[in-house]
Amino acid sequence: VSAHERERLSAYLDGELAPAERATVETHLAGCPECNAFLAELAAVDEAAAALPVDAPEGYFDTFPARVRARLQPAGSRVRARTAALQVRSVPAWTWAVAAALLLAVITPLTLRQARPAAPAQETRPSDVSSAPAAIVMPPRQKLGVEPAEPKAPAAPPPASRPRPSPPAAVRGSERPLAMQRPAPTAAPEARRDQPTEGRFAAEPAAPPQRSEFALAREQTAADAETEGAAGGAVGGVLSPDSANRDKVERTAPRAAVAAEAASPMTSAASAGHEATPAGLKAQADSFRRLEAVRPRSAAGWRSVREQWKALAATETDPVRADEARVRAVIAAREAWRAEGDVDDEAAFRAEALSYLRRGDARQKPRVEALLGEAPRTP
Amino acid sequence: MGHSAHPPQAGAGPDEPFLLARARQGDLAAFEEVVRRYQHRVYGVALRIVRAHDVADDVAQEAFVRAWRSLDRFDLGRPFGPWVCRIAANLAVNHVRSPRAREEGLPDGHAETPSADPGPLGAILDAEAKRVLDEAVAGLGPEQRAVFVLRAVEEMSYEEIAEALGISPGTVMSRLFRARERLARALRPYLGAASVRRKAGTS
Repeated sequence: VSAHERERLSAYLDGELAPAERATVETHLAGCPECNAFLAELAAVDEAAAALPVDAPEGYFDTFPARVRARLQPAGSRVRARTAALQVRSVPAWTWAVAAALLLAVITPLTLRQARPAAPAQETRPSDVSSAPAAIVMPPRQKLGVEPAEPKAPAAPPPASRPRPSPPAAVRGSERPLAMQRPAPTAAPEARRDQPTEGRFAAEPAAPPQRSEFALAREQTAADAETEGAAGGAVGGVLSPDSANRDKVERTAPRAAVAAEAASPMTSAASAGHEATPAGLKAQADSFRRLEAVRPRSAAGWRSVREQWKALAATETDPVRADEARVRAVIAAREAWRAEGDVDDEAAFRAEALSYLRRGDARQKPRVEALLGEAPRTP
Repeated sequence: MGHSAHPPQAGAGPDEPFLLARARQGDLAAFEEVVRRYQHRVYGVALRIVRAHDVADDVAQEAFVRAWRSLDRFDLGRPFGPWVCRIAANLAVNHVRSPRAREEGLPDGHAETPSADPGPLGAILDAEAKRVLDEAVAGLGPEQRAVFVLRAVEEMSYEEIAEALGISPGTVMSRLFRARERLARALRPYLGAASVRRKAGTS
């Protein structure tokens, strides 16, 4: 029996043959024990494979729906402004408490500084949001309740098992680029998502220039409260905010997260320790932390991350943080290239790196030069 | 003939269209219930293709997230299960195909371990045969494996598989055949005895 005929038997098994072919096969089967045996074998293989159990860790399915749901909260604005009211009605009562908490988070730092009212942060409506870059409001791609297991070697790409769902390659032909897919979250989900990671933010606002690109992520996952406190103090010392600049940014940036970030009194929060004003610091660190947490697998995902770092750099008034964001953009561009080896991504990465190196205010040229230097052999 | 129907673990309850309609309106609780019904199946598809829990978890979550985002485009009159499974299969295959996954190497075997509660054929195939089959499935190329899983486990049509994986139905047919033939070769020593016992048991 030829391979072609066996293939036809396989398709016959699935009922995928045209009637004429099917009749031919059946005629043949009537007088061919060998083919009958083969057919039975194929069927048994299917059945046996389907019977292989699928085991997940104990309790996995108890929490799975809630974890999926937690990821949907921000994207809840899948339903656009027209149905926003309906959506609001359908959120459970506890989200209102969280919304109130976030309101405090925004107001408190503002009040402390006797600065502007918190209104902009709360008035972000879905319609505004649809035109805002997703950079600032990008939700973290991490799973709630599951912590990354291992620190990563700096040069290695993150393993696939890293428990942060990254935006995988698009479902064929049907998805828009990542940044476009993410309408801004409403205030309440923002706050809820942040709860599990509360207390980490103090270490995150900026990385000392010499750190590797994965150093922060490692600290995020491994650091205990004490080291966070120390790092928060150190970073805060570097990043004394210029109040005037920050207020300017706040007025010109219509997005909740930007407003909250710009308004946060980093110095006072840092010197007081992160427990004193967690909300303010958290809001400030959110954008950085979220972007750091994003580890897409696809080139498209990394391109989106790159654009978001650039957007962040453009709105960041602190030169150290802005510089770090620009370096991160270079790194994201490199990851996009590494992900799929596309020549366009390589070109984009080199352009991004060179553009950074040409800047008069670039603080981390050696780091970026190193990225360029090791680039040829990575993908 | 070979196929047992898909276990109705995630079966379409009478109110599935209702839940989906609610979900489309933005009702997260309704969608969560849908997730609860289909999670085993979606995770199963993912795990059988990627063969590592962490990755399967990522894929399964992402599949539901994407389904949620695309609910507007989903025809409520159609069954949700195959649709979300197709999304999961596509994500899983894309993952396995990605350069990064290749760098890491495929996790080997043991994604599926024999459970204490054997299915109908589990009673026939002994543990050794299951292990052999599991290894043979792991040894398939990712694309062959995906096609095979979608057909043998999910019982999708060639057309549906083709759509899910972005290949032609003809390619589905040939990949599926090659996968089956390879698995049959591995399982052959056990199948003879099994089919004999089976006939004795059922007739």
